[in-house]
Amino acid sequence: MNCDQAFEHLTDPDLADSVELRQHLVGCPRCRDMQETLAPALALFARDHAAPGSMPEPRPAGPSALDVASVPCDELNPPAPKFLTTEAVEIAEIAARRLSTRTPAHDQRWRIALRYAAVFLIGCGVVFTVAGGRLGGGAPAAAPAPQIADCTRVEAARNDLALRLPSRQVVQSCVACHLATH
Amino acid sequence: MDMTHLDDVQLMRRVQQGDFGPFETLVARYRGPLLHAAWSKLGDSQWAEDVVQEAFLAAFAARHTYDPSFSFRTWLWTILLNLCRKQYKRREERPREIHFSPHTPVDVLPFAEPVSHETGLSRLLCAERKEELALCLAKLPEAQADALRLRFFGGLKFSEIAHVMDSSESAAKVRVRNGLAALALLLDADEGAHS
Repeated sequence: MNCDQAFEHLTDPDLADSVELRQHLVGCPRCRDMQETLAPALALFARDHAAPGSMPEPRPAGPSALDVASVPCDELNPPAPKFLTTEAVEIAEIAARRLSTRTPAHDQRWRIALRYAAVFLIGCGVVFTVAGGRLGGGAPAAAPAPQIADCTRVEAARNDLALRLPSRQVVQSCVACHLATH
Repeated sequence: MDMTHLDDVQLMRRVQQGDFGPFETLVARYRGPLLHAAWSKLGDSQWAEDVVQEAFLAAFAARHTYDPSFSFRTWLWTILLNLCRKQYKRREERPREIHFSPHTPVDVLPFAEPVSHETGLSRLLCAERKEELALCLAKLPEAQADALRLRFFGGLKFSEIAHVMDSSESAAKVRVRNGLAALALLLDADEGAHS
């Protein structure tokens, strides 16, 4: 389970107590912190979910949308809806149009955004290489980043030490590995 | 005929073919969560009833526009949230105080009648919890509160929330996370004020 999936479990009243989530929380201080921060709000929703009156019941009296479906009718003589405005039907139609066209459009937008991001990153890489070559001719080489074997996170996962590691040490190890500087 | 084993797409296909009976199953499937969300958004059980009723009727009237490429419940929730906004505007023309009164009679709330072993006190506590949650949600920015309603009342996946709110999936997650964080802060502040 990754952190994304952990958040999905955390916010699903039926999965909030799953074994997978508990195992993930043991090894992930970041998600553990998030769970602690959100705990009061999550508890409020959990209580609401478990409350006996959580699911509203149809009122016995009064007209119901069921009337529309249960009246004998055919395609030529559709039932006359109650309480229905033209505006509401328009809302439904617009929503249907938007939803049916949405997915490809969004995918396309993401693809375009990714293409721009790739071009930007390549550009940045070229600029840094050129600038580094001009300015840093005599500068000492960058300190080598620590080996993967020294990574505290990897070590913690391997030896199940995550619980004993202070969060400061975990952060330092991430900075050391992933943001190695001169 | 029991159609509860059929999924939404199968039911809607039948409705589109002129067999309107399956729509009853869809109403029974979604009425509760929609009512819960509408009540928490509008603060009035009668308004919530009206809006939910209208959402179902609108979906029924526009059934020919339903396309199985998107999920029925995503469509229904989109209709509901839009109708709630319209309802607010409509009611603004005929102003009426909107509040989740702590003294709202429990019988007026749109929730299930208690089972026999429940006491009056537990009913009252249950109603109070619901009011507390609704009040807290009312204090959040609308997008965050809606994202929370969709996630916790509707049980929607993040991808579905993104569809309803016309956002990306990551934006939907951020809204839920920020909403929960804001809610936690509100609860902490309330607790501090009481103690």
